[in-house]
Amino acid sequence: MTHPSRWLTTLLALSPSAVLAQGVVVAPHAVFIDHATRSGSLTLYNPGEEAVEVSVSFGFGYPTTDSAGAVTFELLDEAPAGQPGATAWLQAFPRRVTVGQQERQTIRILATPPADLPDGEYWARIIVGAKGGKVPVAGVPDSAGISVGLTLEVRTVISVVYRKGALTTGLTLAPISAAYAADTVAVRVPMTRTGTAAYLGTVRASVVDAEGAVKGQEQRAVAVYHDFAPRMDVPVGTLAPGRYMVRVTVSTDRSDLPPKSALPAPPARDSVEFTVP
Amino acid sequence: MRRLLLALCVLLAPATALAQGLSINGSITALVVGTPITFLNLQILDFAAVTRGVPKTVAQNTAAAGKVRVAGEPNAFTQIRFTLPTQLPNIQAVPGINMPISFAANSARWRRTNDAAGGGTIFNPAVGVNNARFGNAANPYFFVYLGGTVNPSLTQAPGIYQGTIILTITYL
Repeated sequence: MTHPSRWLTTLLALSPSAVLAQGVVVAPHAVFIDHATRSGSLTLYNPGEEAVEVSVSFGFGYPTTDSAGAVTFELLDEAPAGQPGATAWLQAFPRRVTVGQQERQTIRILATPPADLPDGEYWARIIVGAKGGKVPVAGVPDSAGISVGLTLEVRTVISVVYRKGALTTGLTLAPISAAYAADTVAVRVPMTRTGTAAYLGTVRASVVDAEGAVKGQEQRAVAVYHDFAPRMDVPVGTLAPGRYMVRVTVSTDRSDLPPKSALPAPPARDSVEFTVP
Repeated sequence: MRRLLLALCVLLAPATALAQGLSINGSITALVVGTPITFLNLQILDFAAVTRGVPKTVAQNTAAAGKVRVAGEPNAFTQIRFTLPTQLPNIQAVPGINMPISFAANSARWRRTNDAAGGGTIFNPAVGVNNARFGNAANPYFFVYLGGTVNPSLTQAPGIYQGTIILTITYL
């Protein structure tokens, strides 16, 4: 699936007329490193008219879900014990850099894992911090000469996946559930990862009526590191009384990631009926 | 393939190409897949004139609020977190001369797709948001707005009071 319009939109967004203030582009939004090369890279681009100071560091975290299906994420400095963290042996070059106006900068990510690193997948997060090189003084001094200057630093947190050896992934899908309220069908999709690597894929949910007509559909990209049970809200409008079915498919297609970065696995499917009285 | 070529144009083409329109010459040296994450700091949180002894509040739905536009993968979910200062040091005075700054539970807002003074979801900047989402392919953006309050004392020393607000965007 291609989305040329999104890139045209991006180009328009980056055109000089649209650049009003400090900004930076970080690409890609996920980095995959193979044990054979032990390196990856990020590209930064400053489309603005002012230099941006950039810092690169590492942390650990992955998305999880709470009891209501809300997605949460906790960014940690290091991986907790028992988690396959790569944070301790990843380095960025350079770690600090000033990216001038309309300049690009490549950040190299180098891995120096332990020599006896077992086969497997190891995770980290790259934190790209960027702030303007000048401190704007926002306030107009009053008669007492008091001014306030605030700077904004934006940190973009993206994932790093380090892979060694032959890895597999898969998914078991527990029974899904659905509830209709306020023009929306809330669908819970409880997933447990199998295999030796995270499951990167897309969940698609659709609501159909008794005649098979689609009343609404929704999809979201997911990364299942261990267990993940998100709630998906499918907008359906007002449903007439009757029986409906929710169909869910989880597959490893991810158009936003480089080819082969999402490991293959058979799709998982489930469905559930509900009634609108 | 068009998608990849256009991605290259964004990241690898000379800056002048962006200014003059799109043209592709020469060989491809790298491929980038997936929409880059872009942020633009469109407006700093602007307290304007601050008077001794008078708290000054900027609401998140006013022109003086801080405003950031974040672009990324259409429809993707992200987390928003703020790291906020509680004191603004006077950079023209000896250390220890500060002005308090605070952020109420309703002083932040995020809005999918479009920039507008209304709509969106108000949130507590000290807590953040776990389900922010980029707009669809036509407008793959969300906007983050931030207000706040500075509270100068009656004897506040003159000078420039400076601080840093950190906005963290995490791809989920």
